[in-house]
Amino acid sequence: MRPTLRRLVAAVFVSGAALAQAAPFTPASDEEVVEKLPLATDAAAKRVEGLRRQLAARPGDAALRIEVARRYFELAMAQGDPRLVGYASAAIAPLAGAGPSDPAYWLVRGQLEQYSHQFTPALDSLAQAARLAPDLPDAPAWRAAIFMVQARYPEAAAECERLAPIADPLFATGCSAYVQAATGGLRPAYERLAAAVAAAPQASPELLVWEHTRLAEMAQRLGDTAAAEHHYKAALAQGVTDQFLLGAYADFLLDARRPAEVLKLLAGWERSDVLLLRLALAGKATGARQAADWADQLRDRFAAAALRGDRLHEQEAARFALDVEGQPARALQLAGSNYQVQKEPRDAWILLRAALAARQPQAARPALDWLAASRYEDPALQALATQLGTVR
Amino acid sequence: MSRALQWLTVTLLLLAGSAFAHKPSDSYLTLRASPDGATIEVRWDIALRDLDYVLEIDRDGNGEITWGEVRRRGADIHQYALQRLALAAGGQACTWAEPAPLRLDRHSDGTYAVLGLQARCAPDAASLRLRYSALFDVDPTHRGLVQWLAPGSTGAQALVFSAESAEQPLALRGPSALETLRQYILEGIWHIWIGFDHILFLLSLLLPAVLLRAGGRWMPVARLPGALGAVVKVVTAFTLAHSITLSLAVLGFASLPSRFVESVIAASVVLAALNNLRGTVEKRRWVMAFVFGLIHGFGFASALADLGLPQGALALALVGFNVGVELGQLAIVAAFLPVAFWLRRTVFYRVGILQFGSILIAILASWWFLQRAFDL
Repeated sequence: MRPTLRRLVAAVFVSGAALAQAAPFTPASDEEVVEKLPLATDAAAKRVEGLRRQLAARPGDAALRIEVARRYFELAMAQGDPRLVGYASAAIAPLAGAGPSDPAYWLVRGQLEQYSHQFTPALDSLAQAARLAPDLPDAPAWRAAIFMVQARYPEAAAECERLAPIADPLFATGCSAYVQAATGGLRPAYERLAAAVAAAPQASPELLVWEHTRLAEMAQRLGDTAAAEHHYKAALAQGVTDQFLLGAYADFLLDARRPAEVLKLLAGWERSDVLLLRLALAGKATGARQAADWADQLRDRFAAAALRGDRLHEQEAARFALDVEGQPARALQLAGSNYQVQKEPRDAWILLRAALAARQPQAARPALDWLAASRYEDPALQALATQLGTVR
Repeated sequence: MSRALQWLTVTLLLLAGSAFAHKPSDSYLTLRASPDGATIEVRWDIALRDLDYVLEIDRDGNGEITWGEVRRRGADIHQYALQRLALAAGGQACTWAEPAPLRLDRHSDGTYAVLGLQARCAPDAASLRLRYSALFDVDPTHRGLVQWLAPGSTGAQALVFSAESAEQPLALRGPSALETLRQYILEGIWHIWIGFDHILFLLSLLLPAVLLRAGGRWMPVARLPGALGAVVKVVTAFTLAHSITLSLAVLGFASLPSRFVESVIAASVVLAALNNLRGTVEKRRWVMAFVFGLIHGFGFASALADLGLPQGALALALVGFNVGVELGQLAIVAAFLPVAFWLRRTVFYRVGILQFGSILIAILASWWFLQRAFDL
């Protein structure tokens, strides 16, 4: 009965984002600027555009196709624009039938598949890339990351081992310590990785950002907030703009009841949904003037994503429903749906919290099972699990 | 190596559920059929960014699109669009009338061209199909988001067109009002059935209904109508109150924080149960039902909001859900009253059920209250 109703509602539900409420207009003059195209003046974007024109003239050039796709994807990461991911997919689409033997094809294809959370095909594509180019670290690194998201730790560890002979030692150490810390070896993993980072001051800033962010999270789980803060500061000091670092540090500050610092840290980051969520949470905690506006923006974005059937934002949407909207039932539905695809600790955390708030402990079963099976050490998650055990 | 690392960082960032202020590419269509289905009005909003990607609207390449640049390419834009949108009625292709002049509209992620189109189709056809294929060749993540208003229907149906589902039938009949009503009635019944706190509140108020307080002691009522009167008063007051606040909340006129609502609901169960031990609100149990019913209404509202509400059938959904809740309540009363009336003379009822039952309910609801109020 309930699914029927859901279908019915889906059929007749119209969200405010669906239909532009404003009436269409006709500008008064031809000179009026009606839209800005930020990419038109970006050097990297112009290069890709040039390559795309070449491709239109030489549609049979497979290497050029792959190059166009690779650059579009890189541009998508830099610009944070999902349209560019679509352009990259379109560039390599004609090659799919031919089963290309170019590892670069399989690598970019795997990246595009993981972007849209198609983890199984992504793993296959990346495995194919690794077979064709056993000495390149890219494919095992991506596979390790996907296995971590799926909570498949033995497979992730195997990929890290594959990295050891072909990648920067610090990178390989970071990979295996990350897995070890998720499987009952938190303290030794932290100590090993901290030592490795201390011994490699020459490592690239990007690598150090990643390692310090991981160390900060481990330190926090070990209950050493001072060390965690030190690692976050060290990561920020590398001068690399990294949304993931900003998001993790913002969560750390929110946990520590320091929302005012989050507002400073993330000033001007409204364009990122992930960071906008943290802004909205900090805004709510401090009673900031923009809090309502941030919440409205997020609501619109989640509604727009739901409308097209995107499920890439469910973790954020669940947290928004729980902590900003105060709708535990809705949060639980989103967190449960999200956990079917993504099983990182943060995904478990929101599922446990939503189940607790909605007083439906049985809904948290998958996350509780993971916590028990993985031996993942985190006092915050353990506390939630204990509380869930005492609900009704 | 550093590239691998960059990717790994990026992967973890993406896998952390990253999303962007830039929306993915969507176009928005509203299709409205005339009563006989012979004309279908189409409003189609396509992002200027997307049109620029396929038609190079920004002629001078300065990164700014002017209205003149759009207007001069109006014919090309219409041609591009009409080659990628096709309606067929009863297996017969519909024809496009001359489109209205191009206009613009702003959406949350930029400016869109607004196309006003009209399809002429065979009237009273048995079936209708829509094929949508704009932009899929250059951006497979593009979606066509369609709102379809069937002939004579009140509500729109939402359809999503993608590269994998580029052709879909359009239902010639929207969900009927009756169907919507039925579904929400069932949903209301279901909600009261799983809403233990509402049930316990009601039962606490009803437990003494088959008894009378005389000289500080509970005495059984003599005849069923006496008991029935008390029950009707309580149930009606509760219903009236929660209908008022449910409607106000759903229509957006009133809202309360959910933690507060949930806590007060738990507290109301405690008070109603304790009242049976003391009999303070002896004659006026219906007042209590009304006052707390107002708060219970907000609880129902959040359950209804979680289901989603059909635009254009909001009143129906509201009425249906309310009726469902009433039916659920009546079923509980119908099950409770005969048994209570039959047992009313027994010590078991007066002590076991009324006293002990109330104590148990109060303990359980106190625990709920602590959990809800202090987020335990």
